Amino acid sequence: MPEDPELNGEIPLEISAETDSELLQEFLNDARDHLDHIEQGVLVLEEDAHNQEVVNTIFRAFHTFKGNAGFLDLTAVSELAHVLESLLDQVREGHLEINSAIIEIILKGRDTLKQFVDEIEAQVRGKKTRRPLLIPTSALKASVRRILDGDESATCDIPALKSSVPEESAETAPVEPPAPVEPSANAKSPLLAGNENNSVKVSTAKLDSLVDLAGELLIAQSLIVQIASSSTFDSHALMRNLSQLNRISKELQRTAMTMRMVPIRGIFQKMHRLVRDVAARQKKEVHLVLEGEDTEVDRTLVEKLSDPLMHMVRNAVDHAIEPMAQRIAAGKPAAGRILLRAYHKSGHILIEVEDDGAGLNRERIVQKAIRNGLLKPGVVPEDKDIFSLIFHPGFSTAEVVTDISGRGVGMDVVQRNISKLRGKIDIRSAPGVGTGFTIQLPLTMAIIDGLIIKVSGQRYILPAISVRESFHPKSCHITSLPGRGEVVQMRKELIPLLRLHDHFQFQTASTYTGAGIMVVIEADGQKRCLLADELLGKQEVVIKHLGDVFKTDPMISGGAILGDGCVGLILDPTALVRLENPGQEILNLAA
Amino acid sequence: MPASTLEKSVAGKVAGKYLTFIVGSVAYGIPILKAREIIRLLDITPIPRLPAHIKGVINLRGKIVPVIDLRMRFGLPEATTTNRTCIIVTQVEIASATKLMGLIVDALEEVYSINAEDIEPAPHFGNGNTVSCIEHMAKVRGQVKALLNIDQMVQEDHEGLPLSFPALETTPAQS
Amino acid sequence: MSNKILTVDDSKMVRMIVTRTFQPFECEIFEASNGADGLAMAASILPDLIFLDITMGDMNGLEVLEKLRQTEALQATPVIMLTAESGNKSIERADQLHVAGYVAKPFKGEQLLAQANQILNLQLLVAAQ
Repeated sequence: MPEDPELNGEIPLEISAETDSELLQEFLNDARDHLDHIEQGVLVLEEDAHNQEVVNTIFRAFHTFKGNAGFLDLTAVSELAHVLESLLDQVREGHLEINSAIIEIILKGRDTLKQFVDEIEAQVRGKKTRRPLLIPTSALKASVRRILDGDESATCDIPALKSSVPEESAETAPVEPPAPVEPSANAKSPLLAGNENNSVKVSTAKLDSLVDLAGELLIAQSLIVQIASSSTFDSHALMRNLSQLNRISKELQRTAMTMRMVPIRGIFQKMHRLVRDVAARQKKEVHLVLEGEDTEVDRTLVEKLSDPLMHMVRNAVDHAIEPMAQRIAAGKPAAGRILLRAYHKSGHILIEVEDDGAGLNRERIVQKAIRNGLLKPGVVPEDKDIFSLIFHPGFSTAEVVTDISGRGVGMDVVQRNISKLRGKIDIRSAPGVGTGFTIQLPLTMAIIDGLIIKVSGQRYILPAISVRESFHPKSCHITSLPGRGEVVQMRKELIPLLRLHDHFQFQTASTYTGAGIMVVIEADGQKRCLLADELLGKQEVVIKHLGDVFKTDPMISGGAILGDGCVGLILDPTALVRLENPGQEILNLAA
Repeated sequence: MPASTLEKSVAGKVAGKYLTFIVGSVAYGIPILKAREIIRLLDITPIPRLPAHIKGVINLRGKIVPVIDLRMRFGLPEATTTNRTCIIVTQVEIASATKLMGLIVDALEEVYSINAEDIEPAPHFGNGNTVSCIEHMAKVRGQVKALLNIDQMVQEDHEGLPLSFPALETTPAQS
Repeated sequence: MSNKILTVDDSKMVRMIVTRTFQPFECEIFEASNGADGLAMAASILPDLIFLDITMGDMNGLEVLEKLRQTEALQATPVIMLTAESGNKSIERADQLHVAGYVAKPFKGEQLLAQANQILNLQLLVAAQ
């Protein structure tokens, strides 16, 4: 290929669409390690220029960089790594002495490689549009070659490192869809939140216990094989060993799950800065108290929790904590206090956000609710139900901000995010004393308690948390409303009916002839009655992706391997209640 | 027709080892490195509201892998399975990620080395449309194999383009 | 009996490529990330073919090769060297130790298949679930 004179001998780097992304991911993971090794190694060499071990480590880092980049056709990277490898090889062989110029060149080389790695990673993750990358390396390579040629005076007259992308300068660059700011994880089903191909750091203690358990598992298994193959069959020993096997498998699963867990500290720490900034703007003094920062949560939860928590804390500082003068007048300490606390309780993670502000204004909420038609005049609901109204979308308007101490702002979004994580949120509040929110979340995002139902011969899993009840269709009354579908009358409620078999649109007709079973689910504050063939029972299942090869209907949020090794599909209640949405009108009818 | 230089260089890129298999009465080939493993047909869980050729998902040692029926993908009627029917688990590149996908085929053939000089651009099918996932044909020991670009094929399914595939059995692919 | 293939290379990426290349075939694939592990593994599994990296951290590929040849059971095991560059010295020494071939990095999986096919009778894998 003729060389483009515009490039001045620089090699543009392009990640071909055919590049195997697993290998690319491995390249990036490995590269990060080597970049660290080089940086740390150089620090040692500055003190001890003759440390052969460190010279070797740096040599190997460049060597591996070169090799791995070569496999992926990342020529610009492999060529740069190649000259740096040669440089270190000369040092290793004793032909060159480490001096400040060489150290500086190694560091420049390392930083340039890091630029490549950062850019490639951003493109691979979809954070940046894929486009050819031009990071100058020729001056650096020339300096290395001068040193290799014995030019003692070779110094780093390398222009400051700066990346440039050939087409970026031109405003009329080829029209490409803008890269999404966040990778598509957001668009994925909430049950499967966060499937980014990141690696995690796992403590060696956890790894060790995993290895131990795997060993125990093998022993238990071989004991059982022995019993089964022995001529005198000992059923007691078999049962004993089977229960041992059972215990080990459970422990193994539990340990494996803890590897997905990280301390919540990271998010909690972020709140200090937020509280300080918002309080300063409001001319308030607010102390943030953190408790249970070491509480471990599923790492996919951490990413998704950050926004809702920040929102709640900001709300608390902004609106809940009264201005200083008002606090003093009320006999409270001038400085407000916000408590953020995390702990585990009966198989859940609880996170509390508590303030010592003015509390929710019960009367204002009731008035507003009556105006919005959410409450009937004359009805006196419990406090809990009144406070829950602030999660209602209609309450989260700017107009009510001042009305109810602003605690409604965006609270519908917060609740939606929490319920996407299969959690729920409760409020308590006392006038003059403060308000507290308790968020309850599942311990892991990887397992759900599922209710297994059968539709057209296939098994489906409903998250048990969304299931309210189930009953025989005979015991209820189904009404067909013209143009609005069917509703089921249950006690005093009318619930829209969804016949799953019809909705799934399988081409084979249902062979099921029985009456079926009605399952009531609730999500986003809406109920649906699902008609399935059979109810098969409850089971804990490990949630898995369906592979993401094809776009599946949003009502299918994932899959799970069932006891017989077949795949069952997990239904997403949030998507089910949104279907067609015959709801509102019918419910209004009922009111 | 003398092959242009461009065609030659493309053929050079396409040349290599191919796993070949039968769907209907046509032999297809995919680059051997795209195949991860070959398994016998097993229980497939159907997924609601997807095109019929997407048969569903299987459990491959704890991983859920989608499976498509190549006969149906190519517009042929669904066949009764025989003991030669199998699933080729392939690795495909979709949206910057490597994914596994199973292909149901009628029978496996074998692994062939296909040389650049045996490769020709695929002829145009039917009403002038080229089946976009078959860009090349190869002649191996007198038999024609359609070289299938599965990344391209699955990309189309992934994006949900309208599926309009002429049945390959009526094409010059047969020899 | 299915073939046993051992890859000794400190780059995980290289091991991934080798493993993936042979996955569709009837063979067992073993990986070692350094010379010492590679030797230990070779002695215990007695592979039918070894892919051996020349440049590794703990001991280079030639040392591994020498040690392999000193072990009776591994004296005749076919070894294909994975080389990063054509260092003549290494190749000379490797030749003396009877290697079955060389593949220069970066390579394509097909190059491995081509070399392996001359040594092993590779059969497509059809596994029952």
